[in-house]
Amino acid sequence: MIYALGGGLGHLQRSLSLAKAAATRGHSATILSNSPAYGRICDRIQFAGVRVVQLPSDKSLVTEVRRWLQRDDHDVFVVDTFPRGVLGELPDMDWRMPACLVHRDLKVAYATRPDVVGCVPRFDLMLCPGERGPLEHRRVIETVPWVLLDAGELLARREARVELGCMDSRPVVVVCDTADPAESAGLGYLAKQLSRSYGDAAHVLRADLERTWPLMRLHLGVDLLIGAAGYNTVHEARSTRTPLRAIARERLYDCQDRRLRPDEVLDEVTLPSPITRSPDVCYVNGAHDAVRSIEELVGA
Amino acid sequence: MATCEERAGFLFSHACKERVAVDCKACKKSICEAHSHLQEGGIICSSCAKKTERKERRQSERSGRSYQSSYRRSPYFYHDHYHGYGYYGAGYWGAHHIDRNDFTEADAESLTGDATEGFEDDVGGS
Repeated sequence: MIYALGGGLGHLQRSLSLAKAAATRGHSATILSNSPAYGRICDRIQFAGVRVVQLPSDKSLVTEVRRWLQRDDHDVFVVDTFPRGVLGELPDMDWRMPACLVHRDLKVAYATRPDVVGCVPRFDLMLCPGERGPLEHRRVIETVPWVLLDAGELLARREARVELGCMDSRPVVVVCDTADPAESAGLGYLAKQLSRSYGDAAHVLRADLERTWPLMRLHLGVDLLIGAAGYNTVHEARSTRTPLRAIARERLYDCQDRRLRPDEVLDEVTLPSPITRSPDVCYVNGAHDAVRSIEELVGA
Repeated sequence: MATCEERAGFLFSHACKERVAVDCKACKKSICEAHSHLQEGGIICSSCAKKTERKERRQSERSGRSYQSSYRRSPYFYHDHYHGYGYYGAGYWGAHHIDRNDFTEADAESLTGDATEGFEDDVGGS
């Protein structure tokens, strides 16, 4: 059971990466999510052995969570990001199975709170998926980033460009979509500005969650990716070696500004130059190592 | 080091920190190489190039001739019409209403703000 509560799409997608990797090793996974974006991508989540349960997007989800934790048909409890839960609901709940905390980077102000630090020992294992925040644990496994698709699942460059509708040799610039409507509209404006600026020098396309998720599948056809600096966008781009320029958004818990390298920051003054990217990639998906670590924990 | 006096940006208007290379022939502003545009008779800044382009386009429209900007491939130059926007409504790419006010200078402040409190109050926090 993967506890993927939190806003946006990031918690759900990272959990899907883990669940999908678990499924390839014969396990089944249930993801508890309250992502507002789930409804936009649910038709495209078709991974055998993976089930997503959509919880309410208000405080009534606590009752649902308690009900799920009373079940005894899961072997391990994986909590994404928040040791106390997104509303601080977990300290009052018991779970009768081994538990893992997925610890990506976090704001120091949150991660050093005594009640947060005090919850960490409840977990039997801490998994750091390609990045790590300030929390400490007696048993830490660090992996390379978790991504939804393995290298063999990406469309080849030619096929991706056909699907993108870009048949000529001009570079393809894609502006990512996001779960937040206001930010999505802002990225639309940005796409418009980019299109004006590039003129005929490049294709400028705007991704759309409903129709293009998971965008990673098309990465080999993309020469420049523009978006926010969320976990999945950044680590997917690095894995597939797709050039990225991103905006570090302010988040309640996430540290997007720390995630970006200087050469990945979307400079608001200089128009990024799309460079025709390498058509081949080879990368390791850390989700598989994470699954093996969980198997060792539960003795599977 | 004297810095470029042009303000430009593809998202927001910013001061440019580049070294001055030349003065704009039209407005005499000191500008860097990137904000320089070659025009008949000299070099002009991006702002003056925009004004020139708008003027030329209006004249072309009045005379019924088609118009193509000579600055269209400059990365620092933003013309009022653009190419490729049709992609947004086609095929796999979403057709969204674009409001030019939905990403503004004010929005930029949200990108750089200090950490906020309110942990565990927001079920949509991330």
